[in-house]
Amino acid sequence: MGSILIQTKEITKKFGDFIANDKINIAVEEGEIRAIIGENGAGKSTLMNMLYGILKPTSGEIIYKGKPVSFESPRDAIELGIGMVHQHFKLSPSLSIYENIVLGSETIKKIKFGKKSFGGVLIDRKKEMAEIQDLVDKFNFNLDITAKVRDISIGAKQRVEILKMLYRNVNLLILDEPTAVLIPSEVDDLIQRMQDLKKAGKTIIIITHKLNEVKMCADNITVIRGGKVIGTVHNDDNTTDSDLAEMMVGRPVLLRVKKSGKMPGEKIVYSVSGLSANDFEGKKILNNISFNIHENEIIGIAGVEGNGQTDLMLALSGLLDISEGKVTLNDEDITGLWPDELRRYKIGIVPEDRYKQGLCLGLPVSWNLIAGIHGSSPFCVHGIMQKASMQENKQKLVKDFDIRLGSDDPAVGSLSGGNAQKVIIAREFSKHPQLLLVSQPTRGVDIGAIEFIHNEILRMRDKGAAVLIFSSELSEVVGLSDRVYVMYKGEFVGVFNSSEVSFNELGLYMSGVKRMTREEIFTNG
Amino acid sequence: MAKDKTNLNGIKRFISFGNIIIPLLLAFIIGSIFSILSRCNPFTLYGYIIKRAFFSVGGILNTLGYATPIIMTGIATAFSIKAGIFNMGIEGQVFVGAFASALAGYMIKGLPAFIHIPLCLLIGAVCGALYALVPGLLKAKLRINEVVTTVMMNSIATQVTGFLTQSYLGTGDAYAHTEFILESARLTKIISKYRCTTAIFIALVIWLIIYFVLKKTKFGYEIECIGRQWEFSDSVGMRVSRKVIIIFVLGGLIAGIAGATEIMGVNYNFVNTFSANPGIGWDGFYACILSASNPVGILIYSIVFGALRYGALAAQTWLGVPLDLINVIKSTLVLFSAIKLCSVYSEQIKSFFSRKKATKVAKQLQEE
Repeated sequence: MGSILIQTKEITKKFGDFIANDKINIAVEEGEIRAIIGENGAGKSTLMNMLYGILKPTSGEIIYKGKPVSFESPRDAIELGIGMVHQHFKLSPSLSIYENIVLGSETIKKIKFGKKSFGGVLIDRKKEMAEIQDLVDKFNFNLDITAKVRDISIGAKQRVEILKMLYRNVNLLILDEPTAVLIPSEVDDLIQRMQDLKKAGKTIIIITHKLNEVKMCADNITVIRGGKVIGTVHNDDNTTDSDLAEMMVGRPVLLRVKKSGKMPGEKIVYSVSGLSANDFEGKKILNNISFNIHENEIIGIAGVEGNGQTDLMLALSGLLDISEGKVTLNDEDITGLWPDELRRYKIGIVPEDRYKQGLCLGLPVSWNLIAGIHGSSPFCVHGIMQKASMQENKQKLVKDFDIRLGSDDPAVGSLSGGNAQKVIIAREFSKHPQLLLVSQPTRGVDIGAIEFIHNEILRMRDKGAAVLIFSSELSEVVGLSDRVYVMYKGEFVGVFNSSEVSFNELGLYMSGVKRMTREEIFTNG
Repeated sequence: MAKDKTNLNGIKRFISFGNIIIPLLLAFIIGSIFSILSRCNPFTLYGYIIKRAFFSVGGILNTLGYATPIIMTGIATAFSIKAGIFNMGIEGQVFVGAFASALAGYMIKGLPAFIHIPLCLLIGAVCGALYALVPGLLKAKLRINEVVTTVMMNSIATQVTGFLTQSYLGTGDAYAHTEFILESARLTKIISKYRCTTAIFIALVIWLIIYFVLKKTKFGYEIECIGRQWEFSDSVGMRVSRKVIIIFVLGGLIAGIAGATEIMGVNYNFVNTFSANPGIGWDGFYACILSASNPVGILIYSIVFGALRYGALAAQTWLGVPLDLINVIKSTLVLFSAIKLCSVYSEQIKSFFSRKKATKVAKQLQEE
């Protein structure tokens, strides 16, 4: 290992009174893969944004290659050789891969007049393409550089983002939650690419909260909790997942969901048959979807994001018109009902985007806790809202679901991700639903709250509810569910018993490599 | 710590107070410039307006008379703005309501007043509501931006009513107007020579109802949610598209009543200029924007605008100051309120206060 490449000294960042980073000291060696792990809101991203020049530290300093540096913007950081790939890609879909890579630092064709040459205005595409092809070959990136970004897979988009940084000759690459959007085989590929980059002498910092991936790729692991460094450990056989999780949370946690021995019942609670739906322009986005959920059963829907899970959730919760097919609850036809009518059938709905659909950020917790049932007694009598019972309801649910509020009845927008999600869970689970439609229950939620939410979902199952879960976390879908369906391009392409299927097998179906026939799905499901 | 918090609250209050006071000051300063240009001492002008508008029974009744329709249009606007809908079409709905009630006022004959008056009001209200239904349907069903449609429909309403008054329904007089409404359709004046009529009670009742609906009812709760986040509201089952239509229709209903009372209480016939320029729909819109849709604020601003309308008219007659000066003041007021200077510079204000505090502490330490 080489000398220390980048180091922070007592670096602190405050947002108002809130201390996001508290006197953080880390040192990363040249040619190292360093993982920074911590829960959501622990301060990982704040720290990285300071290294990349997006945020300015309140105090403390950054030392890069032995010299103190300060950045006005990411441009300064890139010039010094520090690059960052964000969780959400910043690419232009209508441009080709190589155009995206050179965007902002295009090679300009020189115009020659006799012996003199002038900087012109035309872009030297040939030279650019050759340079980028070299890069792609050098690191085995496996990309067709003339393809349009809108046509390529998410894994490929991520490689483009990394190439963007390599093209600008960075030595230090910061990856912010790089695996959040990838399917298992893409994750393996990414880890391989990281090893290649390491061999080529690049230094990598990876931010994540997925412990198994950290174990696979990192040399050293730094744990951050509450804006402070808890410790840095060398990644060897002596460090276990549960040790790391305990460092992250500050107490021992269960990493695997513990299912009770209770088996799914015989009675079909929820049945969807032949469901199809079109988008606003009339294009088919859901195609012939059929499944049944029995009592005491959890069905999981796996799939790469953007393959129709969002639309299916919308259709089932009454927000997208169903063009064909039938939905029944306890043999009663509930096809095409409005969301408020569905709620009257005791269906609990936890929507995908909790800050858009699940909660009204500007309104207090007590208001949010009655949304959807706000028209019924005791919260509303003869059309008039009953403030007292709203408060009573809030107090009860806050206690039952361990929601932590800063003050008596704050706006939901001021709560952390986990507590905000608990508000939705409390609202939807407390009315004893017979069916739960749950989408992304733990996205952006800290580990402690994840454990709580998983247990609540399992508790509802054991009480007899039928549950449908959508999640982009494969481990969550498989871990919680009894059976798992795989969705690809708006259709079901496979169904598995959750306790028997491997992640790699699921990955093949998720990426469309393998698929079952309709009959196979029907007989297996 | 607790002390720090009260200090912070104090600064916050200072900022929101400044947001109201500074635009007022700036508007009156700019008004003063124009007042000086028209050779009138601004203090004389403002003093005169205040004196005329508030310091006699007749003045107060005239002010309230001018404020009456603005209260209604203001609360109608607030109703939709609270739900996040920019219904800019109140002016057009006022015109339609006024026109319809003017026709009903002379065409329907032989009814006693206690039937004729409510009937005319109802016809005005329904026509206003129907006119508002169009942009409501366009927004809810086809997602067409309501600002565009409502503003366009304002022009249609003013032009078509004007055309009809000049052509088919006119009287052939030198100025275009419809026939005078019958005695049985006229609202009673509180004191015969002043502008204020029983319509003020209608306005106050409407104001009270809307205030209650917004603050206390399920519908008010839903409006609050829809205005903040319609996706959320849809997903928890508030049927936003349907509510959008209802909100448009109710706004048009109130606007229609506002137009009808102007005809039935003040004008007695429809002339194309009854609403003045800017119209009562726009004054209501300003009152709503200035008070951030707060019902009490709307009531206060309506009365202020009523006073300005009446005072300016008096000032034009007695001081020779052009009426448009008042529009300058009103427009600059809206403009500067929109900027919210104190919020823009809130950081600077905060640091100014904390620096002042720091020097104070330092001084104390020195003395010790």
